[in-house]
Amino acid sequence: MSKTKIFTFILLSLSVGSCAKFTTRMRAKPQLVYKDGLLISNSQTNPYKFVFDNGILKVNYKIIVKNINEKPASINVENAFYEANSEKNNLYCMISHFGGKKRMLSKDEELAISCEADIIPNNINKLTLKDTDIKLSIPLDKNIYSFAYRVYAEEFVK
Amino acid sequence: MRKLILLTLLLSNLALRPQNANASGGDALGAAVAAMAVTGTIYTINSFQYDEWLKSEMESWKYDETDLTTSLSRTCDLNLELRLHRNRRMSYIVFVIHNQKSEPISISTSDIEATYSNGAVRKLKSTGVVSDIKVDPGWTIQGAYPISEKTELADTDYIDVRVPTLSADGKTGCDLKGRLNKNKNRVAEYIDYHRLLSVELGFFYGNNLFSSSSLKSSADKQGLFGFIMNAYFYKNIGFTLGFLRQDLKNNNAPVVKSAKGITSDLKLWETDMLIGLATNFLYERKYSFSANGGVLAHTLGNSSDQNSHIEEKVGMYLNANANYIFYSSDYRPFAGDYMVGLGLLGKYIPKYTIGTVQFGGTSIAPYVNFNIGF
Repeated sequence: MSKTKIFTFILLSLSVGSCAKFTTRMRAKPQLVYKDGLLISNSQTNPYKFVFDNGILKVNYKIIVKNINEKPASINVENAFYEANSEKNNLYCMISHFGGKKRMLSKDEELAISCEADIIPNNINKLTLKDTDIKLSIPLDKNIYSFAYRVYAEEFVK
Repeated sequence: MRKLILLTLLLSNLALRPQNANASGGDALGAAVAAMAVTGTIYTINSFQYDEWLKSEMESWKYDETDLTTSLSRTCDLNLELRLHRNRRMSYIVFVIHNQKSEPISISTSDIEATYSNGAVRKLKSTGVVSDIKVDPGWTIQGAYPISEKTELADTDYIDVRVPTLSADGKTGCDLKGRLNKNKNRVAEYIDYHRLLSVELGFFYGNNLFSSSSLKSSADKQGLFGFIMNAYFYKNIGFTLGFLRQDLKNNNAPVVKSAKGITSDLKLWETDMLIGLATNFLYERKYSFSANGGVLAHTLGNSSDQNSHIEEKVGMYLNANANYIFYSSDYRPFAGDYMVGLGLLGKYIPKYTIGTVQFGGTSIAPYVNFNIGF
């Protein structure tokens, strides 16, 4: 094989290799909600970056919370969970840059919460997650905050 | 991405497919370079989608607590989120507004203001919608507002953003306010406050002024046409892919025909595929200087015989141009720096002789060029 064909082969491999992990198409409503003194945004979560890999949906989730109440708020992300269709499971969350799962949030303080989960659907065809509803729920202070996503298409299902 | 893969496959297939009995590796190299150039162009076109450009948040404006520039606030039952993004070219204030009132509101997008800590006030203009926006109860909108002169932010400690809103009947108003703060504990990245190009496309036309071979400039060669794509990735340094084409006049054809035993008509041409390193300097959105240099794959061919290749060589080149930016915009559909300029291209190709005609050697060609920088 000539050098130029090897060069072309490398170019081709790089192009295809860059898509080895396939991204699902998710539909989500952007949310910037206020409830009981907490402002919560999910705009830092890019559902296009939820990666579908070998029958597993890898979810990376990030929300921002600001306490605009006069009193400190209690943040405890130990009991976060997700629901994919009728399945319910743990969602592993951490308070970013503090590393813990519990923290008091004083007035006007802002923090980020990062969550991740490997969603393995049992009751649906493993080759497709299309039309799966995914709800991510995080208890904060007095309320549970939920954000819903729907997989509406997949590309390059393995 | 799917289209990108298909296009790359198609062009790579063209590159690998033998074109005729005389076809050689030069065809494959040419098509491969073309594939890379086209791929780069697609990325460039995609980059007109400004949200694809919002690669990252300003490093020196991220809060330690969240590692983000996000600033949340709430006024009149309206929730506001501000972020400060940047790409190589510009900074952007990105805002998200959620209407938690029981009635719709309207936002006058042309009245959104940013006030810097030094007192300077900047009217912000959206890259997208320019009319007023209605936001129904429970709905959220998002917008990106470029800050064209991101160098101004180097001396700014905070930015106050004011978003005027009106009730649906236009009788009552409420100003949404938020503040973005610089984090002085963080070290700024180079691209935070420097306006840099991501991609530069250049088209040029010139002719040889000097050649050390027996092909003496315009007496033997017609005009030189070239296309160059510079992709910058580290500060203002990147790589270049380019293509040069120059047809030769027919005065040397009989000698080459005789030496090579060619019986058909002979129309000689030269092409050079360029690959090298590039650099660029912008000065006040008025002037741009680009330089690149590297290796070239030179081909002498005959266009009247199914593009057969007569000779192939590997050489070196050095290219520089100085440009005047006659139009610069941060807004679609014509976002970019449009420039015209003058340049000089120097090439070295090992000399080779066909019959009594000497090809290759050192040559210098001045040219005029048109560049678009993104």
